[in-house]
Amino acid sequence: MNNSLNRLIDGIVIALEREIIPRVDDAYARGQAFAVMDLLRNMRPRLEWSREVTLAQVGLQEAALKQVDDLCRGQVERPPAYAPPSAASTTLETKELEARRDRLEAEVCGVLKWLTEHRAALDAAVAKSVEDTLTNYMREAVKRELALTANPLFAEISRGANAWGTGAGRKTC
Amino acid sequence: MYQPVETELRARLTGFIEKQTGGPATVGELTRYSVGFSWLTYGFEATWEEGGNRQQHKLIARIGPPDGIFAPYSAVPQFVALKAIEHSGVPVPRVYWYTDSHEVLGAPFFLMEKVEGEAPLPWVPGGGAAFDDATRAALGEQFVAGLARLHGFQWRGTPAEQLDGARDVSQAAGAQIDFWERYLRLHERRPYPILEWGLLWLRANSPRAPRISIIHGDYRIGNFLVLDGRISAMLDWELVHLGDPHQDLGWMCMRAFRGRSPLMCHLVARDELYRRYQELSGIVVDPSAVTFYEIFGTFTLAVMHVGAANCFEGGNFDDLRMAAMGAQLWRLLSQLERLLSGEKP
Repeated sequence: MNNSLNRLIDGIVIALEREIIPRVDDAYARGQAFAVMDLLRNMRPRLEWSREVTLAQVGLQEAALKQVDDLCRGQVERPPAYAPPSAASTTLETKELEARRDRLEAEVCGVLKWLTEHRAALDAAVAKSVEDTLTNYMREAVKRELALTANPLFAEISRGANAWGTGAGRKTC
Repeated sequence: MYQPVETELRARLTGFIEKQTGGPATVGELTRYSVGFSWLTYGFEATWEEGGNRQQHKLIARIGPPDGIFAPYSAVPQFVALKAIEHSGVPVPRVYWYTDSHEVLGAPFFLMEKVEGEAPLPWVPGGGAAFDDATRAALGEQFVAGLARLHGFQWRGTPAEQLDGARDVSQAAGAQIDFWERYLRLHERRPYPILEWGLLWLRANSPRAPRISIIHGDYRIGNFLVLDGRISAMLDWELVHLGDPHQDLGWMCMRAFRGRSPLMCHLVARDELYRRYQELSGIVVDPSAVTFYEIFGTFTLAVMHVGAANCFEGGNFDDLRMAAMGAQLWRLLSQLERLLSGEKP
């Protein structure tokens, strides 16, 4: 996910309170909406994004960066040195783990830039292997995130309705 | 979060129209439209006096909220572009007045004619056809012809000269890449390697533009109105700029706007689009430049999703649609990764 869990919960509560409940005519439906708000507020301090998902991604990052480091051993031009973390990822708090994920993403970005700038000076087979390692990592990481992503409801969001009808939505300039 | 009170908004719009026309004006009840993820859209009926005659029109106010996805906003590009092409044959709403001052509504805005019609959306249930054959053929022809007219429009010497963008055919792609990289840097809260890869690829593969045209920037299904089987208006000009005509072609060919349909924007086959556009505009289509701009478009759409998530995360913009967009970033990153890996668009 690309928003913090707390901000999402706060935003959902605000939307219910300010945008949805005042426009719901039915008292029972309003009661249900208030119950959702109540539950979200109680869930908020007890929830965090899945540690396992972040841990798996960090594992992929570390493996890719180590592989790049191994591939470039002996080359005149080498990417920014990869320093394996001193603490095992499994021992980190969720926030620390997310910070490590972001730092490793920045390292992957750095290697991509390095590869572009130094490709001509590298052994062609090594350059190709480094590229494959990075693209395989990116492909796998996005595949895992995508597997967790529900199909978008953009049509319903744009129309404000869930009836598909004729395929035409109301819009005005 | 910017959320004007309706009674105050009506009073301020009335005062604004009176100032523009120099006489009494009225503004009727406002309708807030849920469409658009960026500018706020209100519809209303207004009256004013012009040359001693009473005018009565249905108008739209488009307001750029201070914390919106493309903030800080300016009404100038949309206003000058729409004004310039008003009689060009591109179906557009008539624009009346604008201001970038925050004094009137607390945000830039412009007023334009309300055009009737329905907007077909790019998302079709089950991946089926969006239109019957006859409607598709009519709309497709008009859709392509509108773009050809826009790109063939002689903007030099018109208000559109004020638009941002490139004047040099060798800089058109680079100027856009710079623009979207700045946007990415402003909004990214964490690094995204696929976007960095995209930037590196785009900079290494930028084409030279065949000419500099007015570029709509979001020319696609979902951004036009249909009335009685005809396109009554092309909407959402907020990304308008000067640049390479291939940019609009690449954008309209993106998978995001056709899903599994073989038809670009559910309207026209790729070969037919190239052939008809070339015939109508006189601009020779370079398929490799279209591919470049499809990849560029996928990159920019992903970057917009980063921006949407960040606007929401910042805490001043509570529109949950922004967070919903942000949650779909991975879908765009997946499409971008496949394109960068050489998959045919």
